[in-house]
Parts: sequence; C-alpha cells; structure tokens
Amino acid sequence: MSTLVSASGKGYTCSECGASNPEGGRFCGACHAPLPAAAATQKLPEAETPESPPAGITEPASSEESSQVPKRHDMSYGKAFGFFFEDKDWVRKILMGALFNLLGVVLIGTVINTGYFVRVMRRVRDGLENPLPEWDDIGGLLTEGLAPWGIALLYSLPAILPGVAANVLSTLGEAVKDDAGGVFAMFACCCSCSSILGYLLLAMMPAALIQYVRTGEFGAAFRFGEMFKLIRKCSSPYVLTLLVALGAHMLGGFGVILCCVGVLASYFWSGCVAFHLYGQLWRFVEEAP
Amino acid sequence: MSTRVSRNMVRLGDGLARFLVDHWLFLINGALLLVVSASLSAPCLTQSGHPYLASLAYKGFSSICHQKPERSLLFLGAPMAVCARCFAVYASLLGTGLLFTFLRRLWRNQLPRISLRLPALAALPLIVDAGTQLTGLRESTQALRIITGGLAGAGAGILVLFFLERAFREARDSVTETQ
Repeated sequence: MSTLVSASGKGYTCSECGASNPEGGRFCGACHAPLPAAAATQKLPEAETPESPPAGITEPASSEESSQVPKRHDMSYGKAFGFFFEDKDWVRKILMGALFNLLGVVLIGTVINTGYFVRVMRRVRDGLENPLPEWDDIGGLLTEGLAPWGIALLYSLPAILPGVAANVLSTLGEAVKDDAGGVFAMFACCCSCSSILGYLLLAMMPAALIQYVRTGEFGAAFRFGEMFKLIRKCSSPYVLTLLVALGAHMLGGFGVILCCVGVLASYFWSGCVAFHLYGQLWRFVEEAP
Repeated sequence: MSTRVSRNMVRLGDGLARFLVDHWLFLINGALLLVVSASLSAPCLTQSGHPYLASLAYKGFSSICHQKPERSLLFLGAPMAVCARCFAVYASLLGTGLLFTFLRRLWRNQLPRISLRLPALAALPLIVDAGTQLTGLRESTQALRIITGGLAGAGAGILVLFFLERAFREARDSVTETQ
C-alpha cells in the first residue's frame, strides 16, 4: 500500500507522486494511489490492527468520519446530469468541447473530446469534487483519446455495417425482380438479424472502456470473459446507466433548437454525462464485494 | 445561475432514472405495439386508398424482412409489411410483455430464475425450420412459421424481461435511496 500523508489545510498530498489533491478526493488525481479517505475503507494488511493506524497516515480518520464512509458507492444519475454546471468555468469548457465537436469533421476533434471524456471518467472514479478537467493539455487529450476512440469505433462497426449492408441488399432486391431479388432480400434479412447482435455488442462498450482505462491495455477491451464478470458485478446499475446515457444523448439532440450549432455543445455535454456515469460504474465495480 | 441550472439538471437526471425504473416495461410494450401496429398498418393503408403511405410502411420494414407475399399473412386482403414468421415473433414478444405486466405482480417477493436453456430451446424449432427452408431442403408452411416464430419470440421475451425486471428491482431501491 502506498504511504500517504495528509496535507496541511485543505486536501492531501500524495506521497507516491507528490501531487496535491483537493479535499474529499478518494484517489490521487495524478497516479491514482488511494488517499487517506479511500485507504481507510481498504482492507488493512494482517500485521496492521485497527488500533494501529497504517504507516504514513499522520492524521487518521476519526471514528465518526470512518463510520460515514459508505460501504458501497451508489450511483447518482442526477449528479451526472448536473456536475457539468457546478464548475464555475462550465461555459468556457462547453464552448471548447463544441469547438472540438466541430473539428470532428476532420476526426481530430472527436479524438480530443474522447480524451476529455476519459479524463472525466478517471476523475469521477477518483472521487474528485470537481470532475470536469481543464482544457490545458490538448496534446495529452489527443494521445489519451486515441485508443478509447478506436475501441468505440470497433464496437460500433458490427451494429452499423450490417445495417448498411441490409439497406444496400434490399435496394438491390427491389431493383432485381426475378428470383435473385428474393435472394438479396433474404441476405438483407440475415444482415438485419446480425445488426441486432451488433447492438448487443454495442451495449458492452462501457464495460470495454472501463476495462481499457483501468488496465491501460487495448486488448483488455476485448477480453469478453472479464467484461462479462464486470457486468455481472453491476448488472443493475449497468442497464440503467446505458438507458440514462441514451436518454442524455437524446436530450443532447435538442441542442439543435439553439440555431443548429447548439447541438455541438449539447452533444459534448451528453458525452460528459455518459462518461461521468461510466466513472461511477467503475467505482461501483471496484467497491463491490 | 450556475447552481440553479445544476440543481435543475440533477433533478432532470434523477427524474429520468426514476421514470425508466418505474416505466421500463410500459416503454418496451409501447415500442412493440408500435412495431406490430406499423406492420398491420401497411395493408390497412393500401385498402383505404393511401398507397403512398402504405409504400412508406413497406419500405420501413424492407431492410429487416424479405416481405415475400407468399410467406406473409394477409390482412384485409393485402400482405402485411413483414412475413408471417417476423410478425409471429413481434406479436409474441408483445404478448409476453403484456402477460408479464400482470405476472410480475405475482412474483413481487421472489422472481423465479430463468435458465438460458429455455430461450435456446424455444429458438431451436425456428432455426431448424428457417434453416432447412433457406438451404432449399424443404418449404415451410404458414402454420409452422407462425408457431416457430411465436415460440422464439416468447423465449427471447421471457429471457430479456426477467433479466430487466431483476436489474430494475435492484435499481429501484438505489434510485429511491438517493432521492
């Protein structure tokens, strides 16, 4: 376990990397080592009894504080909708997100925004009070977003491609009026069925992203056995998260009423909502018994 | 202003989660009813002299069903927008959903466990019937298409509905706690 020191005043300094962290955080924002509040909830090594606090914690949590630490993190769907607007700089941040959504036409903007979303996810998992990151490291966001963007794309393809193929085949089937038309129609039907399987795969994307972000391995997003285990641990909040994220995405579509360009900002917000929920799921899984 | 917006958004998010948890079955049944009605609407529109609207309904289903007239059921003298097998699947899914609305009240305390074998077994006749027909070994009949489609739809419906009911029962408690 990492050695932890409490900082003077508000927040904690992580002894692993020396980064200062705001009060209320559970994990270090830079290296993800647990901070005292999180450490208190972790199982102590056998050598350390509850009477003797873990080495390095100079200010152990009081019994009142430790009794307030929840045993399991509960999902807060409302918080995911509202956290964006708690940031005092939210207007600037949403405008930056909208700008990068606009740059999505040349792909790079989408990757940068994905990197931003992943940072939101990490910060939510770390329990930071303000999970909305700054826009001060565009290069870092681009690097961080590339792999999750690739994962999202690979998970979307099985849902998209058979649908496109089905449409092409059914159009061909209508154009060819003889028996071959029927064959095209049958294949179109099969493509549609596989598209349904594709949508089921798409529903696993949050689990894949969590797996990738927690391990840092691209391949982890495709280890389906581990992903099924993860989903089984949180099947109830997982299903609701999928639906609420879908609802946020549909709400994001209403941004079109703000002179059409509003949709760029509202879709950025809905992305942050979805990744806030994924971050909560990640925490839920880690704290599940 | 920021706080007010945030508070309203939190309320919206919680409300959406609450709504989904409370009314998920209604939403699913509504969507299925829409699909079944849409497949029935095509022949109705044809017969009522609205060929353009009917063609839109047929076009809407053309990418998910072959729509061969000889394999489709006739409604008001015209073929439905989907084949007999597809219609049986959708209708059976809807029927299972509606039945589940009443049955889940009986299982308020304890939800029975559903084995994965049940939907697999229910889908087996459809796979055999459709597979042998697709490969040209034999030609199925309307009755077989309806029975196998209905069985597969009911099996899939039971699996999905029980999974969702279990998930939303747990979610209901947590959503209620946080509000």
